[in-house]
Amino acid sequence: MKPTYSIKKDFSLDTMDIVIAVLLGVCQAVVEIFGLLGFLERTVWATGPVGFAIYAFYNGTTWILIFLGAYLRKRAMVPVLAVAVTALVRWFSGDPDGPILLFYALFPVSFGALIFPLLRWRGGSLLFVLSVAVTSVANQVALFVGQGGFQLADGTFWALVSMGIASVGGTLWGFATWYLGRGLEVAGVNSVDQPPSLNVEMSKSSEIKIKEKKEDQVIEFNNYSFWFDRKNKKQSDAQLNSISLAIKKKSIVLLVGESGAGKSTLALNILGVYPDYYGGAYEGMIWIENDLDQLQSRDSIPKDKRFRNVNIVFQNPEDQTVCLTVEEEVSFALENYGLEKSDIIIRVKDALLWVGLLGKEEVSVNELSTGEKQRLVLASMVALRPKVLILDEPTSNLDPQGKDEIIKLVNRLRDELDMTIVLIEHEVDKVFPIVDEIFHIEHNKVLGPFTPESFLSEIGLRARDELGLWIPQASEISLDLKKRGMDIGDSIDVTYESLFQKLQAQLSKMLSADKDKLEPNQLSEVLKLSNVSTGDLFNSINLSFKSREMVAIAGANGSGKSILGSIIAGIYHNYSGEVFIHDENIRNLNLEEITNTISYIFQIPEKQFVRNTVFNEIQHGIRDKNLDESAINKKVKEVLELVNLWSRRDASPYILSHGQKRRLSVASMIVSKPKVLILDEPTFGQDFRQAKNLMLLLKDLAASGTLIIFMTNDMKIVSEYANRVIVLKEKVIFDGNPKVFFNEEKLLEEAHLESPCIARLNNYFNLSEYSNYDAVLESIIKEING
Amino acid sequence: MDNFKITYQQGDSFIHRLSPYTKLMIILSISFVAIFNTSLSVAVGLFLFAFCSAIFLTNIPYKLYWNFGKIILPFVFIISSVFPFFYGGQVTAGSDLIAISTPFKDLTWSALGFGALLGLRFLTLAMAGLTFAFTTHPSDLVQNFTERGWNYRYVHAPVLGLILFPRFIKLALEILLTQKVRNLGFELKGFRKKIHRFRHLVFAMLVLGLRNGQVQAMALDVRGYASNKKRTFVRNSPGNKFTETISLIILLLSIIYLISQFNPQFMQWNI
Repeated sequence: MKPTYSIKKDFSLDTMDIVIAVLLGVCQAVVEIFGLLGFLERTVWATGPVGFAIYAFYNGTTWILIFLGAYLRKRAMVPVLAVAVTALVRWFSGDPDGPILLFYALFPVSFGALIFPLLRWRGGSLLFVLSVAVTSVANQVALFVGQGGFQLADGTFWALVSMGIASVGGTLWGFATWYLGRGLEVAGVNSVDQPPSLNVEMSKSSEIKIKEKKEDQVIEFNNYSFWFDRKNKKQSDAQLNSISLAIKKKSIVLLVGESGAGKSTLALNILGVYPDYYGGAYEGMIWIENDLDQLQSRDSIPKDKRFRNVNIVFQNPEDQTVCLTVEEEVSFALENYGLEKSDIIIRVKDALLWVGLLGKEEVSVNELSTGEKQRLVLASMVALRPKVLILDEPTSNLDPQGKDEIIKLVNRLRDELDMTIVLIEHEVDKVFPIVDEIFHIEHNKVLGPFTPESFLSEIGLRARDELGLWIPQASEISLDLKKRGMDIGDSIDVTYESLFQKLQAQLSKMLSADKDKLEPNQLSEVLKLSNVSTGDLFNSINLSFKSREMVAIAGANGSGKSILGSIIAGIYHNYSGEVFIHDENIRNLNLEEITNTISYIFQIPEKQFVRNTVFNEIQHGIRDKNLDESAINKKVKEVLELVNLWSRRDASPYILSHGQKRRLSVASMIVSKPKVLILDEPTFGQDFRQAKNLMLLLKDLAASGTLIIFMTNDMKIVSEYANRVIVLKEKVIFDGNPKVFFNEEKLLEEAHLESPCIARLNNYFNLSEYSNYDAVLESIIKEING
Repeated sequence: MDNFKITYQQGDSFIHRLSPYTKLMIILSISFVAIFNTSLSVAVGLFLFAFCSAIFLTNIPYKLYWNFGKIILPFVFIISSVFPFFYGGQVTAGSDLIAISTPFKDLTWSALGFGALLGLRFLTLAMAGLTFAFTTHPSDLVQNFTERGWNYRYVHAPVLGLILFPRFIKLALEILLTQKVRNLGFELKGFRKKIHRFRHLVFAMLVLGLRNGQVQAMALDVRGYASNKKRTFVRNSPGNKFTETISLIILLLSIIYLISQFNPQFMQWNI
């Protein structure tokens, strides 16, 4: 079909266009405010005609971010909206240049954006270059109009010169826009490959297809396949391959699979977000229950009706809050769907009561804690009441008590509001006991349904050992004990309580309590904290750290774990007290000297990338060690092979998978062999295999003499890998062996933490030789057998 | 971070009760006149009007204005005192008689008038802009304009920007910290190092921000982002027809005033 041109499409934006325009507009506002651009501009004008000409040249830089939106989305209206957002954000942030921008920026940008529809028939990268050039010239004209004529540039001659220079500068900055756009595409930022106004219209079948239900299912996949790339529809490349499954009404269904297996893709296909909004191709059929209790083909249900019946909560609540206050956020979807005002008010109150946020209606969303934000996005769904709710890792940012609250809430959604819940979750210990069915996604196929019991009996330890999945630790222990020949019955336990009852029954005798023995410490002191206080988070912290230790810092969300790590790393200064590295006060060292000893790894690895390829990222860590080129390259290769990233050495760090990014962030720090390595939530969002490999890497590093400090709420990781745990609750409430801590129920409760199964068993059996999971199992068997 | 919260202050003053549309029309009128006006007395009058409205009609503590004012004032001072030295004969207030002799240049009354007009223009816009930002809840702005037939998605976009703004600031601070921790640009010195770090900051902010954009867009879509023809608004937005009509009349009067002031002879366009 021949492409048709529609000028309307240049001026009507879809949601992705709007979000990109907003993000670029905000980014521009940040750059302008922090770069004091308004002040710079006026100062340069004031230096006379030459200054004005210089201004005319560099002024084009102002439009790079704005026209980047046009590069990425290929629509004329995107830069216009972006500049309006910049102006209003600056205005509402108290910057008086905000309203002035509406005069001096909106006009030239609109003029530059007109190039798009006018020259659409030419297409190509020339558009962005021309747009920036035209905008730069138009900006000069706007200045002359606003400031009383050409005399602003000291007369007609210089005014014309400045306009000429603006066109040359604008052309150069236009090329910079194009170059930056290409760079962003390489770094994995989505862009549209051709102008939507030239798109061939895709005909979609809207024929209503109805199917009678055989059982009480609410969603059904029939031989459904999905491809991200519409042009490449080989069956072997399908992201979802010939899937058939049924999800029952009022059930909780868990989707499991290793990272990148396609769990979220499957969820977004149920909603039709793929392919309707974000492209891709599919074959087969998805059926969704309609209001008449029939199954209706997904594509024949209008989107607004579809989303009222099936909805989703994404992993990171920050990515999905779109309003200023709690009340607005919860009512947002209801207002969009045009519900009655009185009904909305009742539903919002009810939903906030459900999630424990009643009374915080007027609080700004940005002021909520992570746990509260997670509950807020759930409240939006409680208010909307879809029949099916998909939850994509709803507990990943929370401490154990926060996780518990969310899981209880999910259970109530099914039991009290009759919702069907589709859950994607790595943290399965709390989820397995409430789940009705499990689907396992492996090699783009879906296996199941399994009940939790049948999943554990059929797949068993293969899930952990071969597929790299987390399974509940009680089940893991139960399966491992069976594997080692112990008779603990046919069923496999999913909770500590049931496992414990079985083991207790087998005990021939109760063991007397004795005090735990801590390892004798003969290691050298590396770090010392003396009376460190932040005032609001914690006070009077005195700690000493020695080489080769694996120290976990734990505590509830908001207890100050990350702040303590940042203080030790020398990047947070708002504290009293002293921190010493090898007896040198950290306040006397500059950051470069500190980083020679201490390496800090952020929770979100991509925030610490500073180079354009994986190879260069590692190379950056050793660039200043006075090694020659070949020695550096050899070292980089060694490290990349160690973390299994050598094959991705030329890729942009930003396009790696989450696990790869984490490994790269660790590798880029360990390459310089730091004496202290601090990691913030090192296993966050990783499957079992990735987490285990990373922790083993850290263990090796500790064995070679590095002090490892990691902040975490994952008590399984603490019990398995840490030889010391420091627990924060306004002060250090515990510092010692994790085994001892896991026996302190009051402290655990106070810190919102929970003892993992393996540690509870270890403590119950009072096994003094605690070292790791395997050792505990062996000891239990030994104790029970006699 | 507190500096980057939105500036709206809850209240029930006369200006709070005006609709966002009314306030915007009045601000547009003030801004048009402030930018294009060449009469010093009108400029002083406009500034006093903006100042008195801000202080007496909003019930907002003057200290809050001062928090922003102390950042702006040095900047206004520089404009008013330095620009007269580069005065090139633009349309302005004052005669061509020499008013002050300085070691650099003799300044005429028109040059001083030029500086004074620029300074007053900036102060007026700042006062009017802050008054609007302090007294207008962004959601009321969205509601008010949507109810007047504007596309909700486009009007809501700046509000989305206000929500994302503090997050971008946080992201920028984190990236700046990373640059220090990882000693980005250790091989460079001075200005080149700063430029290198600035380029990385912008690129990293764009990559991290834009890559999250897809989830944000999906989150909006699945919550019916303006998918329905009729949208309900729960907030009680302020405003009435009478004040909106008055504001339109003010806008009209300001345009008429500017047209009456327009004199092509004084505008230096003749090429």
